[in-house]
Amino acid sequence: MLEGCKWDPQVGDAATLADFPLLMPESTWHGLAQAAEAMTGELMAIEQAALATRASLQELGLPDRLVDALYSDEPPTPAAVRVMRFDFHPTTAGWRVSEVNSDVPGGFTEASFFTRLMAEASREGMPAGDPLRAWADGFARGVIPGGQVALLSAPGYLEDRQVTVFLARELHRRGWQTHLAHPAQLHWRDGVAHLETNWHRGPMDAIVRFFQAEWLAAQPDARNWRRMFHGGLTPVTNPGIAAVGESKRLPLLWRRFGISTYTWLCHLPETRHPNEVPWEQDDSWVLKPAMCNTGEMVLIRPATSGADWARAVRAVKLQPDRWIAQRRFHPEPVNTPDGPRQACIGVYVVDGRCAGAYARLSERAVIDFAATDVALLLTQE
Amino acid sequence: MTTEAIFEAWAPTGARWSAWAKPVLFSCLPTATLPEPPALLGRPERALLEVPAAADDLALVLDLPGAEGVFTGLALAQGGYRPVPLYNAVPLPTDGLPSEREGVTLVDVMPILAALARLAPTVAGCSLRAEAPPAFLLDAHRRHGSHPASPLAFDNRSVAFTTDFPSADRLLAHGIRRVWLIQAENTAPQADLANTLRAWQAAGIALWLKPLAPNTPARPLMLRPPSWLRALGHELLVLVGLRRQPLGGFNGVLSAPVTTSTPRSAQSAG
Repeated sequence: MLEGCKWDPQVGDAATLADFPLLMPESTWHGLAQAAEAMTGELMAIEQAALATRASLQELGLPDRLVDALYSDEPPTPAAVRVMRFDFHPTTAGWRVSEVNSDVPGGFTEASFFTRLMAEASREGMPAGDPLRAWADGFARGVIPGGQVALLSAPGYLEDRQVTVFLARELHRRGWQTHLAHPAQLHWRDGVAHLETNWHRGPMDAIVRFFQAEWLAAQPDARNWRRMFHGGLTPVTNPGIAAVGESKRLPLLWRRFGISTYTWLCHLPETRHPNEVPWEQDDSWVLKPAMCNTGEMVLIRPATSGADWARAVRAVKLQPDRWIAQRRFHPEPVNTPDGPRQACIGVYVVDGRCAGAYARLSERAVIDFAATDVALLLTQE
Repeated sequence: MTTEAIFEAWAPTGARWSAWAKPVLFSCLPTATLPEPPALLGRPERALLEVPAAADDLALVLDLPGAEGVFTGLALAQGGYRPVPLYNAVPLPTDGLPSEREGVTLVDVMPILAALARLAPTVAGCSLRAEAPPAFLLDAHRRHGSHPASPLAFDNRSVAFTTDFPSADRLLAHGIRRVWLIQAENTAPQADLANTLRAWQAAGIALWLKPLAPNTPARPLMLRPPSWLRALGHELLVLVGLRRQPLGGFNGVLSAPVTTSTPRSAQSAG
């Protein structure tokens, strides 16, 4: 909690750190890691295809200002390092992916620091990797040593700020000068980001963006943030174009691009436009908004109160182009000392290479803010 | 004292309400250059005189500015309450060191940090029962800042969420039937805190407000649900995707075969 910046170990009445590890055979992990790396390659190709036309971006259900930022003749702003996390679930039909966190994936301290501590304490297995180290190593390849780095997060969201502070400490330990800031404190001159605050003014050598792209698009002055998408010279992690992969509507566009999505098709449940399927009558469909960063926005009718479902029906009918319907999968519960739980294994991929896992357990059908973080440890066969 | 010892003093292992103590500020201690804590204002003793003696059916919420909550919490600890720090704002880490310059951050948390560190031995010495009733400590400046807003400042404002507190069910399960809100002025509770208090009240917990202003006795506090117009307005914002959650951050909008290998491990699908 103190050294690893885990600042939300208790949410309401729920403790969010499991005092036991989740064990997985190495062979299982290798299968997930290979799938995640393959899906990364497919996603990057789809991302480029989607960026090529404004019409494609509009179909992703993104805010108009975000589409404006994503569609540009200027070259994409370079990535300092590119990280994404694929959320796998054990189901009765095998492993399924619920989403890729392509824009601003978190969970670094749980997947790195906490998992290492649990491995040392339990001696039951080895961590699947160290996403923090992989991320920082990638950062070091893309950013000049000892430079100035701005880390952006939204004020008031402690769960976001704990991530930026944790990353800032690692970068500071490696010699960079770090600044926690807000996008409005960035000013771009000739493509270079400058920080203007009352504790530091000057050009930045890199930006760590832990500020969701759709929230950027809601900022009043686009001049502060558009260069994080296109036309910027200052490397950004993740660059703004990562928002494309974050849209849950991306699978609706796949077929037209002629790009292989074989691995995705093997793991992602059938995904359709809400108007194409009888989701109101058929409980085998779940609803997700296009930009769905947390599990609590996933709507499963049997698991949703009557009032919340009525609100969801109104929202989907009002803006069906901002939602998807997706086949519901049936989780294979994991037996734990606390009883059976749904598991979610978030597999990190950093610059195309698998880098570790962020595992969570939930009593409920959805993995949300109240899920328990658990250290995933690999065991020999 | 080490950082861990300071945190342990305020959130001792095994104490009933320690799990809710927020580690945020304590996490910033190793790199913090602490100022002297502000002088004791005289209020804590008075608060102790005007607040009921520690009782197992009573919890306190102290929504006081800056370090005053820490001092008052310590005074109440000497009267048998367990102070539970719920401070969510971070200082500005510049080059690994929190800045002390006034106005650099919107919420000045260094006096709170200093008070928590310097008073840790005293609170540890109170030898409170593990079941001691809680006194949750909040910074009244958390939402609006302790300095005039500046676009150049580090925005470390924060919000107290319902999930920062135990639920009404948990309070009731431990016999707590009354909650006293202690704040500086005789005004309505802050909007973020009101959400939590309203939920507690709806579950049957009696609320009282005790302002620290002179000659203002404690009074029952009745919180009404938000108006239908406000609720409708919020729902519309949710419908069009403009809001993640009520009272959220300031800039979201703008602003496997399964077996158990050991008693405490779980095995995933293979």
